[in-house]
Amino acid sequence: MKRVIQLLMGTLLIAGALYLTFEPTLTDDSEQGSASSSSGAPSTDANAASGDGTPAPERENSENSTNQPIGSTQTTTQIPLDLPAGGSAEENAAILTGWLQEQGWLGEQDELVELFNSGAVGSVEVERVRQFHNGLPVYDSNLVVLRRDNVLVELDGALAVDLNLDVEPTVSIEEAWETANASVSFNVVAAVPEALQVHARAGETQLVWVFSGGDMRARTDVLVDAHRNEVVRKVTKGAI
Amino acid sequence: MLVRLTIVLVLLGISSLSFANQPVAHIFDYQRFCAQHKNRPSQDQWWRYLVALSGRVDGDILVYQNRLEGNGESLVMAISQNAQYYDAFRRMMGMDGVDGRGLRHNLLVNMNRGSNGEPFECGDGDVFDAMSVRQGDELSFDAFSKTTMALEEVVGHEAYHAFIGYNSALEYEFQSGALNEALADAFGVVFRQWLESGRPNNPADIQVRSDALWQLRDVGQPLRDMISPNNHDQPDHMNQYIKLPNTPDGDWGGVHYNSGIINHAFYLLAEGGQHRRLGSGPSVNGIGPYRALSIWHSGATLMHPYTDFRDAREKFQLAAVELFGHGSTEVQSLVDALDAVGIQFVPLPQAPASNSQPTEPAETPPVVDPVADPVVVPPQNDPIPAPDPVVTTPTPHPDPVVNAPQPTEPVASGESNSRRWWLIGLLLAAGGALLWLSRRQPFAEVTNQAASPAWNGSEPKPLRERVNRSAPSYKIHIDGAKLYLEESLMRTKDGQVFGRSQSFSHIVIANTAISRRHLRVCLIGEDLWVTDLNSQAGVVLNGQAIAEMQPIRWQVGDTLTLANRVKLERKS
Repeated sequence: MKRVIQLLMGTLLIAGALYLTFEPTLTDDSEQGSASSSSGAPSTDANAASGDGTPAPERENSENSTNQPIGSTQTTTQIPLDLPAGGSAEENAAILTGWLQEQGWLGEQDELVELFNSGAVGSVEVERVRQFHNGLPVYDSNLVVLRRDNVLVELDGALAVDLNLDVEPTVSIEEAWETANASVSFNVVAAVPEALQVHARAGETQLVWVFSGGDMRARTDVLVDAHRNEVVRKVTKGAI
Repeated sequence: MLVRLTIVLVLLGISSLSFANQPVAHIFDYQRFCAQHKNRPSQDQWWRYLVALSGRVDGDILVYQNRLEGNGESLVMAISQNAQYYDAFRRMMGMDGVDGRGLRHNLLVNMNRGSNGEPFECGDGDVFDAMSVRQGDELSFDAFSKTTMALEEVVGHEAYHAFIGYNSALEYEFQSGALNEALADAFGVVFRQWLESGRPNNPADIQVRSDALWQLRDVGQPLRDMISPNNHDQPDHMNQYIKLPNTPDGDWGGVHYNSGIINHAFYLLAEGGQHRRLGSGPSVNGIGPYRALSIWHSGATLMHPYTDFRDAREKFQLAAVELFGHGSTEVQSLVDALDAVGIQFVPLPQAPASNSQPTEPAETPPVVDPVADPVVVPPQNDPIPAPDPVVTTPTPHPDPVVNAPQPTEPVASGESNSRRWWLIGLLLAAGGALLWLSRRQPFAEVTNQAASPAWNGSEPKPLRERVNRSAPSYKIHIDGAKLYLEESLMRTKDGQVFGRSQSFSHIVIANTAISRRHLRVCLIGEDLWVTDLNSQAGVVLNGQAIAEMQPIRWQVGDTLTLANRVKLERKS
C-alpha cells in the first residue's frame, strides 16, 4: 500500500510539473481574482473522477477545439461603417458586402443577404445576414451584424473566404438522393428550393445537395457533393 | 366527445382572442395520422408531412390541418400549453411568438413511442418524446406525448429550441450544442416558475418556492438539475468538462452533458451564492430568475451558429452591459457566476466615449489562408480606456477567434516565472524520487489491492493464495453469443458495465432500448453481483425485475434480461 501511494504521489507530482511547464502563466486567484480560474486546467486532469465517482472520459477546460475550425474563417471584427439614414436592410447588407469585398474578405461572386432583424439588445440592433456565392446560399451561414446609432459596428460569425466553385452540378438531385438515402437508416427529402448550396468547412469547399431526414432520436442534414456524388457531411440539427 | 370538442373549441377561441395578431397554432393529431396510414406511417410519409407543413409540398396529408378530432384531452392540453408559452415569450421577452415575428407553431400531439422503443410506431406508452424542429425558414414543430406535455419546463425547453433555430441556429454539437440545450433549459425552468407563480403580469414577480423548480423532469424522475448537475451525470464546472465524440452515442459531443456547466452558472446568477458543490469561489449576488433569463435571452440573440462557451460569455456580458449598464450589480453578478463555473475570462465591453467617432478601416488586408484557423483582425478602434471596475487583471487570450479589445499583459512575469521554474524542478525531483522508491514493488500486488470493490466489506485474500489458484472462468451468453468476463476488471469498483454508450460502457450493446449505462457486473469473492444502474427499461433476473442500484447475486444458470430485449445468461 505504501508503494501504491508512492507511485501515485510521484505521478501526481510529475503531472503537476508538466502542467506548470505548459501553462502560460502562474495564476493565483488571490492575485487575479477568480476570472482566471478557467484559463487553463491541467491536461493531466483528464482522468479525474466526477463527483459521483463515475469514471470520467476525456475532459478539457478550455475552448472546445473540436468545435473548430469552422467554415473557412470565423471572425469577430469591428467594422465600423456609416450607414445612410433610413436605409433598408437590403441596402445595409449591400454596403457591408461592398466593404468586405474592398477588404478582400469576400470575392466578387459573394454577397451578404439580410436574413432578418433579431431585434435590439439595449442600444444595439442585431441583424443577421447570410452569405451567398454565385447566387447559392452558403450552408448554415448566419452572421450577426451589430448596428448602433446607424453605424455598423461589428460582424460576428463564420465567413467562407476564397470561394471559387463551379456551381453547375454534375450530379443530379435524384442521384444525390440515392446516395444520401443509402448513407442513413431513415429516408431523407430535399429541402427544395434551396437544396443546392455551397458548403465550406475547415478550408474545404464543395457544391452540395442538402437533404434532411431523421428519426425520433435526431434530425439530420445529409450533404452530398454535387460533383462527386459522395456524402460530405451529416449534420445533426436537433435531438431529443 | 361532444363535451370535449366544445372545450377544445372554447379554448381555441380564447387562444385566438388573446393573441389576435398571432396565427393559431397548427394542431396535428399523430394517432389520427397513424390510423389513416394503417397504423404505421412510413418515415417517408412522415418527412413529407413535415415538409408539407411549410407549404412546400401539396398533398392529401394537408387534410389533417386544423382538424381537432381525436384525443380531446391531449388537444386541450396542447392548445393550452401553446397559449401559455406564446404568452411567456411576449411577457418575458417581448416577443411575438418563437421567432419574434408571429410564427405559427405547429404542435404534434398523441405522439408516443412504442413500448418496444421503435420510433414511428403508434404505441400506447407515454414515454419521453419531445423535440423541436426547424427546417427551412418556416417549419417548426414540437412533438409531445401526453405525459411530457404535462411537464411545463419541457414544453418551454422545446419552444425555446425553436427560438434558437430561428435566430442563432446554434450548431447542435460540442459547446454550441451544449449552449443550445442550456439556453432551452433556462427558459424551460423559468417558464415553469412563472406558471407556478400564477403567471404574473410582471415576470420580475416570479417566486421560486422550491429547489425542485430548478429541475427539468423526465417522466417520473428528474432529468437535469441546475443546482446539482452532478446528480445527473452533468458537469457543473469547466474542470469537469466532458469531451465526447460527435456521434449519437457521444451525445453529439456532449450537448446534454456539458449544458450542466452553463445551467449551474444560470442558477447562481438567479439565486446567488457560491458554487454549490465546490463551496468556494466567488459569491454571486443573485438577481432573480427573470433578470437572469433576460441576460441569457439577450445573449442568445447575439450568438451565431458556432458560438462556444467563451464566445457566449462575451455575448452575455455585452447583453448585461446593454441591459443594465456598466458597473451594475447585474453585470458583476454575471461575471461572478461565469467565473464560479470556470468559463474563461473575457474582458467586459468598454464604456462608450461621449465623442467617439468611427474611424477609417485599417489598410491591412485580412489573412485569407483557407486552411488556417480563424483569422484575427486587429481592432480598428483603440479601446477607450474606461474600464469596467469588475475585473482588473485579465488573462491572455489563448484563442484567436474573438477580437474583443486586447487584454493587458498578465502580471505573471519575472519573479513569477522564476518561482514557477523552481517549483517545476522541485516537483519533478520529488515525483522522480517517489517513482524510484515504488519501482521494486511487484505490480500484481498493487493491482489486486487497488481493485477490491470499495463497497465490499470483506478482507482481501492474501496475494499468494490468489496467484496460485487457477483463475475461474466467467462465461456468459449475450443473446446466445459467448463472452468471457475479465476477472480483474470485474474486481474494480466500477466492474464491467453493460450499456449502449461506447464512451461510458465496457461492453456495448447497440440497442436503442438499452440505457447508456444499464448494468454493472462486479466480482466479489467468487460471486458475480449485478446492479441495475438506474436504467430506463430495467433489468429482469429469472423473470423478476430487480431493484435499481441494489446489487444482486448472479449465479450460474441465471438469466438476465435487459429492457425486455437482450438476454444475458451466466454459463459458468
